[in-house]
Amino acid sequence: MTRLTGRCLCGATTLTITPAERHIHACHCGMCRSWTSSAFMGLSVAPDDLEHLGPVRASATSDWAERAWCDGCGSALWYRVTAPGPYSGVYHVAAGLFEGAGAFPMNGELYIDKKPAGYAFAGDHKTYTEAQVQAMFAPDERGTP
Amino acid sequence: MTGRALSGACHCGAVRVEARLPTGDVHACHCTTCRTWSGGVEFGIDAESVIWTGEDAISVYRSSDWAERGFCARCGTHLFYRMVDTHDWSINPFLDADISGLALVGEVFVDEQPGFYSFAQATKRQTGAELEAEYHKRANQDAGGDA
Repeated sequence: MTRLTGRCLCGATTLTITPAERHIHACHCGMCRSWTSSAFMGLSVAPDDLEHLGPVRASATSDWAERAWCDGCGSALWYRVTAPGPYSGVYHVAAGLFEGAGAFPMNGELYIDKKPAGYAFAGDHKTYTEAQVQAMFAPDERGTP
Repeated sequence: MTGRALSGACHCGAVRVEARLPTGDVHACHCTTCRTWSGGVEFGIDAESVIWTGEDAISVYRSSDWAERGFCARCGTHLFYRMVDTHDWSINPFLDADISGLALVGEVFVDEQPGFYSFAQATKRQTGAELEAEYHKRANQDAGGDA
């Protein structure tokens, strides 16, 4: 799988990743939307397949995940599962940091039941509700993302 | 949606915002700068009478000659995009969890939109050059000059 190098808006933070798959997924959950003013678009990256350099800040935004950004410019860097489970440590890295990521297709939309009615992506993507995402990421009962 | 208001906060609660929404219209920006900042397409809502609390926690990054972007230094939540000369605000609409009835009405910098997503709605779509021309025309009119 291809290694990709990307950088934040101000250039202070550099990320080198090897995506687990050549696909982009979007997340419509309230926290991803309010964090990024977007439907966070990410690439899945295994725990050992990411290197970062620069002023990275991270915050535990729930009991089971953290969100990271560049301290210099606020560019969103990643969402990472911190709780135990099948996806523990997996990164969902902001696709916009990588020029080459635009060539990857979008193949999934998460938290589709939390998407406001005012916008929708065109195309036939696999969609997952909150309940389906939580069953997938954390088999035991957990709260919001 | 005329006369509506936005009331919201960042994830950690250090920054709060109250604003008036003249239209409730939401725009999406596909430009490379917005996508680098947000990870993907970025939404914004035009706002007036914007009042921030917790300003000590706001970091502002000057992302171009004409605009700056604000985020919470403590939790990274994106807050706003603002024109430096006119002080026109474009606020992150999702800071207000209870906001409803938003409608995506326009898309800008469609010439920088990557191929992997598009919106299902019919919107007013403008290239960066078209947006800039409209902006200068409006600025000229505001200044009383000839368009």
